[in-house]
Amino acid sequence: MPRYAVTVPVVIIAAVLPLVLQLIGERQVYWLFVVSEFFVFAIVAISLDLLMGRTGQISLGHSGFVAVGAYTAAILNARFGVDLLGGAFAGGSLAAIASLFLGVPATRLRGHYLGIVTLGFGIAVDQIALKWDALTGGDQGLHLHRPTLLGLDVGTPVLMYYVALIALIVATLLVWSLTRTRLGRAFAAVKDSEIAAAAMGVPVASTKVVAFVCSAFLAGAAGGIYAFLAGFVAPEDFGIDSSLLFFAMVVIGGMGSIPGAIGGAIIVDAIKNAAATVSGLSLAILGGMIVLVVLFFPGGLKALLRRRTAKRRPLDRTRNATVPLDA
Amino acid sequence: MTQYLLQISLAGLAQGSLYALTALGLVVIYNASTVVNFAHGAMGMAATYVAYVLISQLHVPVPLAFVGAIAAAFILGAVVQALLLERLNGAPILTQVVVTLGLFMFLEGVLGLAFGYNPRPMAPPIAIAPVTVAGLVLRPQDIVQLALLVALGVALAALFGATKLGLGMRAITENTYAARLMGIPVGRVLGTAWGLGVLLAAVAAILAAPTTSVTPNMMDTIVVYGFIAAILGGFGSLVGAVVGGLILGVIVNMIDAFLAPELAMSIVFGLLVLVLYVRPDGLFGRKAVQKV
Amino acid sequence: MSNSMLRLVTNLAAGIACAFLTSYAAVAADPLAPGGTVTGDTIVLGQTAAQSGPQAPIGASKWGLSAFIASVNAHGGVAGKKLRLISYDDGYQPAQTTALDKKLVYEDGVFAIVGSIGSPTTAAVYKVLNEAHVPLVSMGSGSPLFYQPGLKYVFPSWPIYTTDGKTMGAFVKKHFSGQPAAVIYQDDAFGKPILEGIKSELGKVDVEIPYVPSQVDFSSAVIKLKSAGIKVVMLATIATSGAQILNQMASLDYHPTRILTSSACGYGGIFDAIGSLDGAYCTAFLPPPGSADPQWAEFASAMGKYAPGHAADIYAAWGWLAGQVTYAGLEKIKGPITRDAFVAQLETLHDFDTIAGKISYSPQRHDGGCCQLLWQAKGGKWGIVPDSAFNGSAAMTK
Repeated sequence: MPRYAVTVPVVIIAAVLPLVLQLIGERQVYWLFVVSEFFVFAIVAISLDLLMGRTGQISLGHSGFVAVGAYTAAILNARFGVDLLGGAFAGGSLAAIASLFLGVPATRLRGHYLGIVTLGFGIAVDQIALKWDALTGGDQGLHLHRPTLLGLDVGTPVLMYYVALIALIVATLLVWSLTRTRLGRAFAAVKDSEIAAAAMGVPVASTKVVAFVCSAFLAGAAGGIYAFLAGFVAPEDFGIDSSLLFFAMVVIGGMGSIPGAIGGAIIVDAIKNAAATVSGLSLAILGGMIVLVVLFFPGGLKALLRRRTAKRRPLDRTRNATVPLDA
Repeated sequence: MTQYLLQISLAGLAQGSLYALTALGLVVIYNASTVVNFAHGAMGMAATYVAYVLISQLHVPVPLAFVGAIAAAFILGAVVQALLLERLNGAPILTQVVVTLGLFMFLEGVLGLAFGYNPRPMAPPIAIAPVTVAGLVLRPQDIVQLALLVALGVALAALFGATKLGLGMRAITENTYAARLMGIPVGRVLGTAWGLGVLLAAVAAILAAPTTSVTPNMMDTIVVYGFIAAILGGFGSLVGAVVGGLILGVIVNMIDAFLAPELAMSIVFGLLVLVLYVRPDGLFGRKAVQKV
Repeated sequence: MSNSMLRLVTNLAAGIACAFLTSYAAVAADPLAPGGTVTGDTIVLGQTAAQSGPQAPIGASKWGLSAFIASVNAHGGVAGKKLRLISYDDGYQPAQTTALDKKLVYEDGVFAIVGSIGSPTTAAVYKVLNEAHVPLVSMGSGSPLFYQPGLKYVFPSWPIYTTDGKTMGAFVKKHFSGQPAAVIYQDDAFGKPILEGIKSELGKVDVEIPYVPSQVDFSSAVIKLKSAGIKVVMLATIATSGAQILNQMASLDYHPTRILTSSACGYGGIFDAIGSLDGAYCTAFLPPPGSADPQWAEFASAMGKYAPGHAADIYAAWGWLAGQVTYAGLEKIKGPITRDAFVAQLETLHDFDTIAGKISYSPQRHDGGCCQLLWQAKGGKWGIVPDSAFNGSAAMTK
């Protein structure tokens, strides 16, 4: 994150992209949606990375949290007209509460059990959303009103694009600063060795639960934003398939890195969209990539990027060093 | 009412034997290599496609095709162990889980590409009319399934209890490095364990295929119940996997009959979380000691 | 956070806020869906239909629609223009449908969305398409959602699902009255209206069993029906679940009267998949596969010619039906081909003959097909049951 040389141009390009897309006329509606959707998925990837990459806890049901957030926002909006900010916050909060059901037993579960229990959570959210149709609309799903934010109408594709972009930047800053706190270091200690962490005085159980809650909050908030972006939520959208996509983003990007998670989201989203006309193709490519990444590039995209920018790092250091002097 | 209960339990046991076979395979692999194989169902599914191609395209007699599919499953397991897992020896659990998940996605995608997603029919291993005994319908297929489960379970127990292979497996689980020093052919033992484990998944998939039809997703539900059965059984005990699978089959059928079939998997997962909360090592598991 | 970081963030935030406000002022309204008037020599139609995942078999609708379009083009097209189909695989996932329909409308510039498959998938997009004035024609669903009045651009062509249920119910009332009857239904917008239709004709049924498509073992449901002495079982299920349930019945030596819904028995391999199918009934709004009906014969020969390798089954016929309805609207347009002219012409169709029987629309109602009847399986083939036709439109227009 702090490597400005990369970050600043990327953010500037993202900020002016809609102006460029004006050139292609109405076709921009589709491309703005694709990129906005990617921003939201990238938030989920960052949240999953917080859990898997930073604390070493696996989740195969992350779209369950996204679903809780999306449904919370959709229900609050459809019934009470709650706006985007309120929906995203409520969605994140409810997902965080739901995560306690998993996070608390998770402290007692050995590694691979957690994978299976989270898988079950994803399936259960799906089934409950389908069953509880008085609240969720069942398989007919739920339509949202045109999105508003603090009284402003943000229902156009361009404005939703900026909402998603800002949400991704906020999520990035949140996670980045979280990893720099005492809590962030506790996450890392728990990931390296629970026993060593406990010996150093890190409360292992509560650290793991907190990681779950933070991750679920972000995923739920992303779900809330997604509901407004798509204008519609339905149970089929949050199945195992989409959990596996988020999982692939984190692994391919390289665990434990925000740029890695975002890069992984770009790759997975691009493959998913490009291979949509040939059934089975995207699943085969992503599965194959995961196997290859684990075997031959254990650091994923993150490690590849780092290798390339490593040469420039001394330059970055000197530039950083001069800043405090004139500040 | 008792007859109704009996009939439902009987059907539950039959379906549970599929979960038990799947769980048994997971446990064999886990016991040797401490890896939970998330590609288990997909590998069994791939073997079923071998049987399908042999029967419907190469016109091989059905029993021979099943033998061919099961042999292919063994080879697939051994090859995956040698090519993928062998390279990850000593890597964190998370890494090994990730690679089997990648394999799961890869296999489902590749078979979808090759065969499409239309369900393909599969002949049942035996086609004998059901018999009625004292008002209870007994299906020959159920009896074959349960007998096969017991026979395979006993054979595995004998294999692990009384042969060098079993001894080798236990030595590897205990300490891979020491086992290697003692002259145990670690690669070959692990390859055999993976081969046997996937073979069991293939048996479950072939038995399930007449009702589920052959599709890339055919094992998705069954393998999830297989995972749960293995966890209930303590993930390590053969008896636990068999009992866990059978109990689960009956429980699921009871939920279908008396509670809400459309929420069956959610209810089962709720129960699982409860069980794990009370007994983190499953109903039959021994307490695991964590090592640094 | 260091000072430099803070300053950077502030600058970025200010920059984005500027861009945000500029675009807020610039883009006050939505850009309208492009392609409202056909200008080139091609009319592009869009479709989403699952080609992967458990619902892939019904995605075969794509091939029937392709065959129809190829045969129209071979005969000179419509109003001197050729038709072209762009069909995407949405995997039966509504989020995918949302994204792909945006691609179809805004990137590919299609004139209308035609023959898209599925209830939940279409539910995700019908409101947006209606608001954008993009016609949504002959979707693969009979969900009551799409028959609501006021959806000017939405034209369902199937009989509504409740008609499917009423056809079963009326038949049971006529021929099996007094016998204990049960319904196994998919617990969603597809199965529930059928259950409702059955009950509206029969009054009540003795046992109702819901299920979800991921369920693989139906033995307890079947045992329950057998123990309760049920003599007539109606199945509001999709194809795979229907096959599993009937196979389960045969294996448990249980032989009630079985009536399936049309979606469960359209595929070609059904007699291989269900060994015990003989005697079973199925509701239908299309002719039985292989029948001598002239509409079916035309469809089957076009499939052989333009979609070789793909079966002329019911799912493909859904696509053919979508093509027929679309063509009927386009053909009648005089003057420029616009979306509003297309909709206006569709609304004039009265008792229009399709492969699925007569279809009528009016400016007030977009009801699609009115009628269903029953097939019965005999000796490895479907035959029409005489005197089983049910007209659902009489009840609907009341």
